[in-house]
Amino acid sequence: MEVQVLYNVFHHEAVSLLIAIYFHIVGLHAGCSIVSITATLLGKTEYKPVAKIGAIFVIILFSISPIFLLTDLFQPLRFWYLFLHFNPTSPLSWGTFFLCAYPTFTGIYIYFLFKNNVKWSKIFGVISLPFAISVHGYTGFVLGFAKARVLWNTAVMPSYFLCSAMISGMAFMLIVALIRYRFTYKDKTVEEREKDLHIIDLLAKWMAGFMILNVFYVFSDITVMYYHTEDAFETVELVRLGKFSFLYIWVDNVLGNIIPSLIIIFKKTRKSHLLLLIAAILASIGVFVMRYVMVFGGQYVPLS
Amino acid sequence: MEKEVRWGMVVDLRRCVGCHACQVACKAEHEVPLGVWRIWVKVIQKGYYPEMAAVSLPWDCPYCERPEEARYPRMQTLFLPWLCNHCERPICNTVCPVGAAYKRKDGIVLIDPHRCIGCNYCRAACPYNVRFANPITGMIQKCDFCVHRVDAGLPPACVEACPTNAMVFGNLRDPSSKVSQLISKEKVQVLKQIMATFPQVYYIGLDKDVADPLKGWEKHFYHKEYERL
Ligand code: SF4
Ligand code: SF4
Repeated sequence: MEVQVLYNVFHHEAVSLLIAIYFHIVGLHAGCSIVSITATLLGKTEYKPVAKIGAIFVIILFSISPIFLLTDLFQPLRFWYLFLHFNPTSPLSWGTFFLCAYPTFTGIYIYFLFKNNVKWSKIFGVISLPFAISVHGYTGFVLGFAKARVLWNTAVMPSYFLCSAMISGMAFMLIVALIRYRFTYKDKTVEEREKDLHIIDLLAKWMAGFMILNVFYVFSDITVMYYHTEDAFETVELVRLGKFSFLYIWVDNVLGNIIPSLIIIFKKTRKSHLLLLIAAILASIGVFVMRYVMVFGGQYVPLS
Repeated sequence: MEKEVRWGMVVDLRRCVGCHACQVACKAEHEVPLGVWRIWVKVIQKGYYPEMAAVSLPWDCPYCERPEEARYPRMQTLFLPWLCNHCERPICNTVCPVGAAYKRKDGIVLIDPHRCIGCNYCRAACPYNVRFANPITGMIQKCDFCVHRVDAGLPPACVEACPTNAMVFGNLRDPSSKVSQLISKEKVQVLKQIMATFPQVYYIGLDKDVADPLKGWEKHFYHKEYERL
């Protein structure tokens, strides 16, 4: 039997590209600050440069991220209503709280970091770490609580988003560290070079670890959806075979996760800085594509 | 003591003739701009014919190759007025960060136009795709059961416009109202029960294919007709 829709109404997409970009930038700076704080907390002096590079990018990226959020509002001049009215059941309200608390504590942390005050930078590092995690973690809940869309409404969403935030943050810092090494290694002693290389190595290894975790999340998300409701089945078919399959499976997962992690896992390829740079760039592209597919793939399946 | 009021609607799809009068009445009542709708009548055809065709289409159907063969009784046309369900547990209210989406004591789900910041989150979360951003004012809007008319003691515009009385509006808590009687006597169904929003718009004679958004969408979701909307 055939069914043909003769008349139906589809209202335009609720979540726009600006929000996908916002998710990406928030992920980037949350990832950077988590790496930076972890480096500070581990307390080895050779991690200092990583912590500082991370901190600088946190400031830059954080200052541009609210622009995307505000321009997406249909009534942007009313954004301050978010501070007046708190709704505990809405993750956007939590986000408002985190977006205020996070720069405060991280700002103090960055101040002490650049003052070389180890004790206080550690204390504020510990305080701002949960905020750095939640400032990106809430975006996962934002999508997760939209119960209309099966692609979003899954329990792995917050952790999946956090994991990809770590990948994008680390990839970004890896790119910066590689460029920094390329331009400064001539003036450095062999010992300093060793340290820099050690940091690059470490960042790459952690990034590969998170990539493998990410692939696991994708795998469990897609396979569980196959055993879910009709909507979920259609959505996963869309992601696997349909309009988004090229972007999601090939660009995000194969090019963005599997190939870079393979580059990092094999010692020979890991030693090549060009390949590492390519891996980091691929990973950043992969994470952005993942945000894009999540936002638009989730909204592609009709609701009416 | 004032009797408790809980407004609700029953749509008797056995009576619906698909005239779209409710849709037009709503447009006129609320000055809904082009391209968006507070209520619309979804129309589908189903049957055992490979090249199904339009019998009563408002435009020329591009899929229609042998219209003379694709007629009753090989197939049937189904209508479904689709509007905000004024859910008992509205997810749109749950997720609104500023509390602009709210539910009145009498069950009508509204949006406070002075408080809504237009974050679109309710639109992303509503499982029924009934919320839209007004393209002229940028306000988030949806069916409000014609709250201004209901408060004045009138039925909503769609109910009043319906020529076959397929739409019935009334107090669900009042056992003598027509909606309560229909719900207790007839076999009623709601849309997307699985979403646990507990809709307050009930349908009599709802067909699973017209209620299923995924049916027939492969061909039609990016149909040129809708791209313009
Ligand atoms: S149908 Fe959608 S907009 Fe209407 S009350 Fe339910 S969740 Fe809210
Ligand atoms: S668009 Fe308006 S009503 Fe909807 S969730 Fe945002 S503030 Fe609330």
